[in-house]
Amino acid sequence: MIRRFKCEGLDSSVEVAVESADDGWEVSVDGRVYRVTLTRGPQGAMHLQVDGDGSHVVHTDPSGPNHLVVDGRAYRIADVAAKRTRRASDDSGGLVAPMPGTVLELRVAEGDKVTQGQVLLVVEAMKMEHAIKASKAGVVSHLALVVGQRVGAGEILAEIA
Amino acid sequence: MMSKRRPAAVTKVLVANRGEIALRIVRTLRELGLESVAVYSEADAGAPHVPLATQAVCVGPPAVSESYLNIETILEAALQTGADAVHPGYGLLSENPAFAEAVTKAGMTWIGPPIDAMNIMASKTHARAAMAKAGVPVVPGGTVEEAQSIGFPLLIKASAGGGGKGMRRVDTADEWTDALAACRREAAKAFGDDTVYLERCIERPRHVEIQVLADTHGTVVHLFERECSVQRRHQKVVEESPCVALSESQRTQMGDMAVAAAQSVGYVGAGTVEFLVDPEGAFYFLEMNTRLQVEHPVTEMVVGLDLVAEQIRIAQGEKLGYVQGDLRQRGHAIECRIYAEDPVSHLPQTGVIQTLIVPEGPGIRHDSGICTGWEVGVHYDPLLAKLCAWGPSREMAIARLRRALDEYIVVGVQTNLDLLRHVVGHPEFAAGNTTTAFLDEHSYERPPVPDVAFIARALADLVVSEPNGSATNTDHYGDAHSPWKRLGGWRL
Repeated sequence: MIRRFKCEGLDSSVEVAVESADDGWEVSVDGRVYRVTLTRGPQGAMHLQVDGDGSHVVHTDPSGPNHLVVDGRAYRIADVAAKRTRRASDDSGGLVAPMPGTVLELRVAEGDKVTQGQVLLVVEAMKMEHAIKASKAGVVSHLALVVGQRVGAGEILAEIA
Repeated sequence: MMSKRRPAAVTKVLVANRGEIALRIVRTLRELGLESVAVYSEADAGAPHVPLATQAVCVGPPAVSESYLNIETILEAALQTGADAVHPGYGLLSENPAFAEAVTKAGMTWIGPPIDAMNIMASKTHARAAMAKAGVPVVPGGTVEEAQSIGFPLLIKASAGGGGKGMRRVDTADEWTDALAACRREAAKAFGDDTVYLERCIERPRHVEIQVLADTHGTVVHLFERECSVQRRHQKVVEESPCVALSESQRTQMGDMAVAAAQSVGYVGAGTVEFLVDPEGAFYFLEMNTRLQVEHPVTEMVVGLDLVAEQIRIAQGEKLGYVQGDLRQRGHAIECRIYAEDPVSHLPQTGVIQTLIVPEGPGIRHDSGICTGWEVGVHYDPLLAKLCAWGPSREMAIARLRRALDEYIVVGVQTNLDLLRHVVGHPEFAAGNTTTAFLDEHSYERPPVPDVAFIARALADLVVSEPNGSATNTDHYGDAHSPWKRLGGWRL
């Protein structure tokens, strides 16, 4: 899943992609890839082991993830995509609805082979059509929608294995 | 000679304040085995100082003017609960002679200085005159008519002001007329009195103050100095004792002057005489604060006295029981003030404290009025807590404070912790090169945001801590087919 974050005080946003890995995650930050594992610390802390960047202590705000303290330093980091549209595809194969809407068209079915960039389905929202495209080549492993069905923002629409 | 009247013993004290200082005073009352009455506004019903007191009384709506500054309501709370003394803390009504008078007239003990001394020191012009008469050096200055002879740059100050409020710097004669008019308007608005006076502007001074204690039997001692040079917009940020810049003879001289200042106005109780020390080491009287100071803990740590306990002993007519020669400075203490403020704009911040991890360990003292779940609102001062470190040497105190600041975690409200780490970790601070220009000359620049902050932010969305101490990957969108369901990575 690719997301875009903006830290308060910075002008530009940062693209972060998270993929699950064997014993943790592979996280890329503007293209720099880190292997990350998490353990729990006392008082709600997360301990992050970041390959090549050592260990870090993270405290997050249970009332919302935007305020977090990393190694004692406080940051406000907002998901800028969340306010607009969520990216409709992600590298881990899950495809999410960019906004609440209605399924207008289904062009593939479970089990179909697809190529990267192929349009899988079309979602209509606020009188605008959004084509949901395959993020990678593969087989549609999950797609349980019918035309006319309402979907919520961020809802998983399809998965490609 | 002092009055022979022996004030009644104090048994139950109403604490006419809120926040960390209310809590700090209630703690000493408990240690002394005295009863305490807390007051609180509707916004402070859940404040930490409330349950620690023997009794608590709500004194009105959140706005200070309708609660903590409401003399009538507070007096009523004192009488209704049978309090026999009132401790005003700092700020709020602490330097209000009318409140002191009302408390005394109601037959209670005022844990503060005599009203006459308060009155003199409340007017900066009267205070300057009294100090000059007592032989205490004052900053060269005078009335607005004397502007040319004082010379520029100079400061225009509101006579009724203090603590940096109602003050304006004038660099050249061209700015003079406009600045004077503006300062008068501000003074009239802020203090209801447009009287102003002038002081020569001392460049890059140190702010050094002397703590004094005076009993009702004529004994006046000083508890040495505190240096409070690191300030932002005239608000103190870091304070310490001793001041590295003072020689033993300067220390003695300033201490003697502070004692003389207190004696000249018949002072009783705890008070602070503030001085500016210029780069050449000359010192000048600035003002006297007729109350407990925010930064009093550094003195307590270095001198080994509880100033609130001393105030109470003095208020009930006890003798200090020690003289100047009995007092020593032991080691070094540094305090930093933790404010709810935006680290970039420095504007006060509000919010709910979600996580609060307070440092512990050798030499650390923490005075706060906050707790997890506490809502920092718009009605009160943004001071959240004071973190102090004591060490046998200044180096050790700095090392402890730096270590403690690194442990300090506040989630939910923005704080100045990063700024404090910057100051206390600065080589110029370590070198003792502290002046009131410190933060202008060594301003805090936010370091670049490390990638790990974004990694943490992305992963924070994916994992949620469970209250039972285990942790699970949770589905961010509540969908059984979410790929996040399958994410691993916890080592439990």
